[in-house]
Amino acid sequence: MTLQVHAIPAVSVGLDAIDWDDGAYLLRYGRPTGAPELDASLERVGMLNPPLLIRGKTGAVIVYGFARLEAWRRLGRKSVQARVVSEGAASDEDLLSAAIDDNEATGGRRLNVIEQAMALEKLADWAGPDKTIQAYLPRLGHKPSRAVFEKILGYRALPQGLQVALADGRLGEGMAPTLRLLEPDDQELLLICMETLRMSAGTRRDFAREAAEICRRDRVSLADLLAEAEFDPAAAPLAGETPHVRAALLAWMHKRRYPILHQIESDYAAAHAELELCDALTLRHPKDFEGDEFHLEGRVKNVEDLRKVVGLLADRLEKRRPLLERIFETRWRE
Amino acid sequence: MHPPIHTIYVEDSVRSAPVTRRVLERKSGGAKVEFVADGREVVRRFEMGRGAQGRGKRSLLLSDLRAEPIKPCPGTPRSLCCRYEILNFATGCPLECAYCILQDYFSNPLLIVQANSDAFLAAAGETLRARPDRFFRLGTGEFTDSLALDPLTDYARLLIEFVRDFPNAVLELKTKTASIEGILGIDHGRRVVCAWSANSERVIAEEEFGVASLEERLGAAGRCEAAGYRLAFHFDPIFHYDGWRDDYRRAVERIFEKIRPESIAWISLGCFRYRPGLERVIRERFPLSSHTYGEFIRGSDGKMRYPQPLRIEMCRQMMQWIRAAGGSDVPAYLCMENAQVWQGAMGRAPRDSAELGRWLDAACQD
Repeated sequence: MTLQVHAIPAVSVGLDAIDWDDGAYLLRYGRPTGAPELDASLERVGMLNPPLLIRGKTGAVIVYGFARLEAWRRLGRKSVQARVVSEGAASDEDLLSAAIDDNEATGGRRLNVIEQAMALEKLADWAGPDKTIQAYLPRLGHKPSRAVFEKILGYRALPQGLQVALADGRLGEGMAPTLRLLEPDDQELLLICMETLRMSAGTRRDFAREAAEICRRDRVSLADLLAEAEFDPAAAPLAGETPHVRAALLAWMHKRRYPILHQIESDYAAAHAELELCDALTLRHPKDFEGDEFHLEGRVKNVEDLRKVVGLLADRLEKRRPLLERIFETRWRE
Repeated sequence: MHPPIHTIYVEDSVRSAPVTRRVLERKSGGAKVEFVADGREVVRRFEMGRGAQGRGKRSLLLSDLRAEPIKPCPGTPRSLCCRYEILNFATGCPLECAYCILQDYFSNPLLIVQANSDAFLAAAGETLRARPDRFFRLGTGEFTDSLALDPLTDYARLLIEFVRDFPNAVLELKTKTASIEGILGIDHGRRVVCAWSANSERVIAEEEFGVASLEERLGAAGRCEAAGYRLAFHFDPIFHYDGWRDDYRRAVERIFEKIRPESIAWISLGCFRYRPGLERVIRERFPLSSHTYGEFIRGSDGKMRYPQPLRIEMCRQMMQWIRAAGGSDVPAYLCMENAQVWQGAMGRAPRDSAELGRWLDAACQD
């Protein structure tokens, strides 16, 4: 059965006949309840898109239009023009489907990721997981895959603070798998840390991943890890110092996450310095030290520069051959 | 030990095949049997989804699906490959190793055995007969464990009796089990290498489930040695962790305490590497496994690998321990590694994969 919402005439319903506590079809998370813009718009043009209600035992239950009805009530109105479905005339699935349509299309307001998860949870109960995946994920803008379905549902298992951050966009969806590597207390701590240091989205992703992976690998808590870095997430840096503190913490975390690569890199840099090439010459190691292609980069302006550079190289080849060989055979020793 | 199979699907066309009859006779009492007209329908049921991995590993399809009987090891770009050929009698593995690449490599975890063994071996025989000039180093341990299902299928015996008749082939059976009862007392004509995946005791305890311990593997290897089989050991994957040196040195020493070096056809080494997609699978299925949190870079083949200098050091150390334990003359090679790691760890590198292949071919012929 598909609910033909527009075939239901709008009728006058007293606001006191609405069961305001019944949120069976509510798809709202992490949004402010009082929105002055909505109040002003309704005051100016009235309720253009009637809410949908269904008659229930204790009053009319809101299917969609929660925010508009709340604003209507704030404006002191006593009744509203609404479409009302008779009890039993539509399934829960049809009603929620209408609510999704209202949010995604009619209402012009995309559901945030936690609201989508709420919708999928309810639909999975009412329509079954398979139909939810095939029919509803595409309507929410996703591929009809079980992995996507489970990923989105998984957001509901995150601590409330993180769900709010995901809902309002302070946390990117891509960070959720990383956050799940951490204990709940550490998840919240990570968010505090990232907000205190005003990290960009990309920095947050890298920082969270490295921190979470260290915690897992070394079986330490994030609190202990931050203490080891001598960073207090609750204390905001002094004015103007945030970029410096942030950069220092990121560098520390990266070194802690990749100690071997860091050591190889440092040893290489030391050997390169010992080679005493001139500023115009650099011998670059292969990317990540993988493979055997080194790059010799030189900056020259004229034949005289070139002669000097070639002479320098000939000198190093003759007098510092063991050092050069060591550089080309980059090793790592514990 | 019987593998923990809960459901056995039998394609109608192999209902009366000897392999099917054996499996149905030997299955555990609780295992459910379902006859199906077309095995592809069962395969579809196990298409990847969360939870399918575990279920698939406990479900066996006795199939008449025509797989290519012999196919080259897929290898990896820009690495030296030993040119092993896969004798493809089964896919999927009932063992549960956290790091197993098959979890990501196959889109379907269902265990599938070519139950029509006569047709399968006839097709494989055609391939071998068609190239009498070529030597085939065959193996069954790439897409499955060679012996994990053997207590049910007795397939290894069929394969041994098959390969015995071909002068241009040897067969390597590679396992993490001690399920060798089915292969003792068979005339193998010295054309079979019994190989064990070896690892440190700690990795076996923490990352491999449903497998034999190192001691049990070595016990089984000793019995195969006594039965005249050539042996091989594969330290692959080797993990880097605090204490890896002591653990792996001990594992190498245990092998040479139990097995005579001259019985060993080859030892292979390979540091842990994986396609990026495996990380998610491991973290979901084995949340206590911490090895994906090691230091990895994306190698030129797209796989995640330890940094090259670390791989060189790990393999160099392993080689030192092998030599010190008495294995100086045992052929040893690196699996899917580049020439730099070969050079750094072994002091030499084959010119190309063909040279490595020829060297190993020679190592397993009298």
